[in-house]
Amino acid sequence: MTTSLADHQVWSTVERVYRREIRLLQAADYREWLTVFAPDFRYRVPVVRSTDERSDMVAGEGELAYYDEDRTTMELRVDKLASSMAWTEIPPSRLRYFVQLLDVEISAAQAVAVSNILVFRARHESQENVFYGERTDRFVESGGQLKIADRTVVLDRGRLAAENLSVFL
Amino acid sequence: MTSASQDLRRGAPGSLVRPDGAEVGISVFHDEGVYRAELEKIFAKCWLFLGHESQLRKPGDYISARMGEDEVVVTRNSAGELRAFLNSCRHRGAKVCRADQGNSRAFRCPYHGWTYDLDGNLIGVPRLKTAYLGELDRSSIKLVEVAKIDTAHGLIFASWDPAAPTLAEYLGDFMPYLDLLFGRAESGFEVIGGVHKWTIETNWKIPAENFSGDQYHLSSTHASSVEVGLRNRVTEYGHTIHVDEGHGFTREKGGAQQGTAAVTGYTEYVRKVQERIKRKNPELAEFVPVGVGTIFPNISFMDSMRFLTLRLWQPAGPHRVDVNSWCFVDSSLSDELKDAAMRQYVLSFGPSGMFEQDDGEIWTSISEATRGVVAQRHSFDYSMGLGHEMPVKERAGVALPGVMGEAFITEANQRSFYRRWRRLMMEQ
Repeated sequence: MTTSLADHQVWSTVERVYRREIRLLQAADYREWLTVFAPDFRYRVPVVRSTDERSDMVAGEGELAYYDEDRTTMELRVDKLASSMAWTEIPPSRLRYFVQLLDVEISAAQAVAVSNILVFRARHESQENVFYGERTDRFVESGGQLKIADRTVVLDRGRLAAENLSVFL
Repeated sequence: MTSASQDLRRGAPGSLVRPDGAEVGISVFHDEGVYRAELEKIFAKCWLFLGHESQLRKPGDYISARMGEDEVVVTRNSAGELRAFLNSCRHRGAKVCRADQGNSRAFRCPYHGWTYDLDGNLIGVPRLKTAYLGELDRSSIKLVEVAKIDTAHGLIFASWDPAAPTLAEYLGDFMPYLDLLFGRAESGFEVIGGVHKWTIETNWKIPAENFSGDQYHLSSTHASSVEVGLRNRVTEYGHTIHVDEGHGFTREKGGAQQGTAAVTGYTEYVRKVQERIKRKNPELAEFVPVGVGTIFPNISFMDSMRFLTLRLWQPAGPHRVDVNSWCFVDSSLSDELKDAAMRQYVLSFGPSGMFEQDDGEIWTSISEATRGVVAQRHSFDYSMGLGHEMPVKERAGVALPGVMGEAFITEANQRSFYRRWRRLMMEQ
């Protein structure tokens, strides 16, 4: 495998975006976090199921997801979390994100990044949720920067071990 | 929280609820013995929801489901009939079906290879001659089957109790409301593919009673979603109706989940349904969408201006409920509107739903805050609107069965839920 200088630059840009994103998510600075996305974006976290066929284990388009958002609905969610009565985050969760970039597939118009993610959410004294799975981002150039136009996160657990999912992945 | 009267603190589980349902001893949400008794007297007896016919269209289709803590597999056999069995091999109990859904002609236990057909018959036993020496009567062994299985508007229910009434009798006076919920689409309803599954560390009755008619929590619990316009503020107008005993729903005037934010074409579709019903039967149009409700014991629905969901509160111990939730759509809708309904459901309900995420947070805290011995000497009060119930016919002037509160916001439905609970728990 050969890596060109241009490829190397895309990899390091993607990693820089992710490091910034982690800081924003851990601080629950969601309004600023939305700037990692392109003006129009899609954000999906499809449900998974157990079937005998590996190809049918993730819900497809038009099927159920934990998140199936565009900018409008994501901004609504962010506004809701900013409310003084958004009980899921009062007191705020303590969040820790681990993102391991595995691959970036680069073409002329886009870069598709695949990573493992692991998110810990601690609340109150001992409440703890762990979310883990695979994240696929499609980056496009927007205003001279790489922005995420599509994000799909497939969580591995068939039944979320959590009373809710009010953090982003 | 009030100090429980002496007889609500101890004794048989049924005696922990006041006969009128207006006071419930807190130990019914915690006590291990009460929980075991619920599995016997409620979940092994009542009609329980298993799934929807649209999940089992062809012979050989199957889905996994749960009745109380018992795992079952629901199949459509070669004759096209629905069957449901304990998902457990009769030999050593391993699961014979290990997928959430699929299509198969047989279920083969992976442990020793016993194989069952879609009717639960044992059709294959390895080494029947050489090891069992031909002495195992294969024909006498079947998967354990439910006593009764039936459908209503495509919803599949089953009961373990051979003496159970028919499903129609069990649903009883709730049937006209179920007709408005699932009988209104000319070509029926279907389930959007996929299930929301999550776990809330609380007692199953807390969400079940909430959905049965708790309009009261909305203004506080869901204030943040109201603030951003995902729904209107709750007014004092609507219907909160139960049929004795235990099935209830509440519907705000105009329909639930009205709001200005992120409105889709689905809302317009619901308005057209209302107009269609209005032309045929004007007084019924006030009941579509039906609102939020619970069919005793643990299947709840939310039929709103934005989406329709059904969810099952599966008990998993006194402090844990495994929630399964589905999004339903009118089969005749365009793919675009089906997608809109699904995305609205995801935005509002399910574990990440802007409404439901706050419920989960608060319900968990109920179990935490009341698990101590001192808390359990006390009881919850359900007296809101007590003595102000009257027949729907009288109060609303509509020829529909059931009872409603004088005020829209009432605990009449929760009282009905706990009266049913009490009666079942007192049965021998």
